[in-house]
Amino acid sequence: MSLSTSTLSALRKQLVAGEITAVDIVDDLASAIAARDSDIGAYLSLDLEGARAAAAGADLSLPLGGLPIALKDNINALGQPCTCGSRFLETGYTAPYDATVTRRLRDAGAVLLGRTNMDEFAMGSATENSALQLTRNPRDRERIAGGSSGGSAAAVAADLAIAALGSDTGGSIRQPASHCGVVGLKPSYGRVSRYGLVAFASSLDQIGPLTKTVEDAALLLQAIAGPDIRDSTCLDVPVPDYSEELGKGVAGMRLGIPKEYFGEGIDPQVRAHVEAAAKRLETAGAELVEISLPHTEHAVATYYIIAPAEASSNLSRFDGIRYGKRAEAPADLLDLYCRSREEGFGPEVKRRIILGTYVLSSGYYDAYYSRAQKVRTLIRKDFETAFGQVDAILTPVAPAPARKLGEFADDPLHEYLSDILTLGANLAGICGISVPCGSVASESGTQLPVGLQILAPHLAEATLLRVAKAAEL
Amino acid sequence: MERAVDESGAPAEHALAPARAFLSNPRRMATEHIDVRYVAGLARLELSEEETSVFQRQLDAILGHVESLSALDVAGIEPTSYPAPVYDVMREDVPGASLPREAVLRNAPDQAQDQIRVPKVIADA
Repeated sequence: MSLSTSTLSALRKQLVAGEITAVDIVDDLASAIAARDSDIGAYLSLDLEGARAAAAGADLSLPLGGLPIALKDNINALGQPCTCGSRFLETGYTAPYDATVTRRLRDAGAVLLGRTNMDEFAMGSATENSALQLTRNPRDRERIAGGSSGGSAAAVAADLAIAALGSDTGGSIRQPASHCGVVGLKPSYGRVSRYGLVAFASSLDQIGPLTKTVEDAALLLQAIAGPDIRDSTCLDVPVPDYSEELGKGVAGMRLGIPKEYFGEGIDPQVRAHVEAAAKRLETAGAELVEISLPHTEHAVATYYIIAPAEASSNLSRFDGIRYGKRAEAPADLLDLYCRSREEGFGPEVKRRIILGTYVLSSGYYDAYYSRAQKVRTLIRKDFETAFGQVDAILTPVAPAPARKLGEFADDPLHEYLSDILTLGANLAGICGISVPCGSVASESGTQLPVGLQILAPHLAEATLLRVAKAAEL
Repeated sequence: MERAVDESGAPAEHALAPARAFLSNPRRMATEHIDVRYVAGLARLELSEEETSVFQRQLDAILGHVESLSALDVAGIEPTSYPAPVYDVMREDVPGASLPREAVLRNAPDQAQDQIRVPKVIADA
């Protein structure tokens, strides 16, 4: 078996047993990437020389010793680019520091392999908003990989990475994981430090793993979770031993089926696969309970006020002064700002900055932003009430399998509406995971993966992983 | 080039009209069209004519959807700013290393004398 098709946990055993070296893994991935990434477009940049050097010196006694990890291109790693899929940072930016998750990966012995494509500044659900490159779904090259962490999901699905990190603001880890047929975990708000993640919407963003197995997701989460003085929102609470929790099963657990997530607009084959997964968990000893999350229909409107509002503020730092794009021959400082931003940002980023600026502007703030924050409370309380009755919730990740490339290019609202099943976890701050639960045949004969979404209470990643492990095919 | 925001930073008078109209009837959400060019000016974005008209249509549709929230009764509901709020987080008061000046300056599009250079801000006397 080639090493690139393996998992973190299997490779770790082989490394410790001395059957392979960490450099062998990098070399195998490098060959796979050279042979196939021109078709997929998962990576924006590679650091194979750095990876080989790190692999050669890796301490195999560490939890991720000698194991290569790919990073979404919005996570800073000292000396590497961090383009965020944007013309603004395509050139003229080299990270002067490590993000906390990057530092923790290095400290755990991991090897940084390369940087993956993404929707510009993580704004999108298809990775088609990357200004730099197209990423194709490895299961069907005519279809999207999902987004915004589409490069990370595609790299793992195509065996061009063993595992990767992504970021999830409204579903950007779970939805591409679902579309590509890999595992993607969004930790609870405050579980993982965002220091060094280029901020999109600070009350929603979380970094998490994309892996081939639930076991690997537990391993990678373990390495990056925990308090950090550099991110005041990162909670100072103990991190359980996730790998130990995995095998405990679901016997006696109560799993909620929210009726609002299975209604109109959900592809019948997607629904059937998710319902079958729920039945399997019932057979494994869980009790299925019908529940209601009554404010679900308002999640899209709430999210698309709050996230752009925060983005418009966060992206004001891209002004052409300190890093990245600067317009040529500016007439004055204001002209420098306006033209650098006009030239540097793509259309989706501009749309969201304008939308966010509008909902925060004088006269509209209360009607849009304050109201959305209150509806966010209602959505959060829906989950609190539900988790009074059940241990975890089962839903689809996306209403349909991966769509074709280029569809709905001129209709952003249509694209936003397809995020409805993943937004709630970010608005409520709870944790969620996508686990492959089947596939749907396309008209061209390809098999399109379908993900089961499991949602668990705030900081209950151990529960999440137990259910995910039991649901894994 | 005409800008919605003039040199003093004050919004042009016409640009405030939608906000004024809204304020006179604050109970409803804005149903008038978003003034894309004005809002883009606030966000320091200079849009082309084509972008402005495309965004106008798309943002009207998006705002039409988000206005569905106006049907909800949110009286007495506390807003959520952060899903897991923590307050007064302090680190130990111990000095640590800052980012190396050279590494930070290397990213600046224009620099001189160990500083980032920008166009002149103050007019000649």
